[in-house]
Amino acid sequence: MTDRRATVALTFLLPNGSTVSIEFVIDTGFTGELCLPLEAVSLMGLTFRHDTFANLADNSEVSLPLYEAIVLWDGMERDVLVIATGRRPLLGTALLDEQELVIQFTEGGLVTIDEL
Amino acid sequence: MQAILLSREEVARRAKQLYEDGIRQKVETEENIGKMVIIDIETGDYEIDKTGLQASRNLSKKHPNARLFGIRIGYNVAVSFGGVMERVSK
Repeated sequence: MTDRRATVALTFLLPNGSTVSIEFVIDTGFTGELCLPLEAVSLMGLTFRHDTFANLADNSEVSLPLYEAIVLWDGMERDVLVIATGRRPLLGTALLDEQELVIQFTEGGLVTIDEL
Repeated sequence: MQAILLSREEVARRAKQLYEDGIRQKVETEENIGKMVIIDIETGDYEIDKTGLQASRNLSKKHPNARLFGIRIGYNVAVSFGGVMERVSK
């Protein structure tokens, strides 16, 4: 926990063979898998897949681009779709499916994700 | 139509039209509700899977420069950011 945000670091295995670790804010109001700023997605060389509709908190609908990435999840490689939007990396509920999320809501508190 | 030149909004508009004009009737079954249908807006080809990732890969293999759009079957949007993702079909 930092500044009232529950965060988790994910390691990406990039198409060019390198790895990069990025800190994500766990956002239970976000129903997708991950989102990252477009600039980061471009630098990482991720492959574009398709566009899709998203509903925002102000109830507007926007069309957003999704990219394919590989992350390490519980030590295993996992294919994920990354939405290229916004400024802050977000981790959504689609990645938390069938997992248990525990957050100690105090500065420096532990955030743990375990398989159910 | 040169799909490669279309804006993101135009791709979305055409995908929606293809969906309403025929794809919807074929794919909107109880077992498909909540899955993603990915549509090639140039050829009208489409594929369905849970996240849309494999469907997108398959369609891209067929047409390397295809403009693809994903629709969550039976829902208003595919994803929400603090907003509403609700079922719109029975």
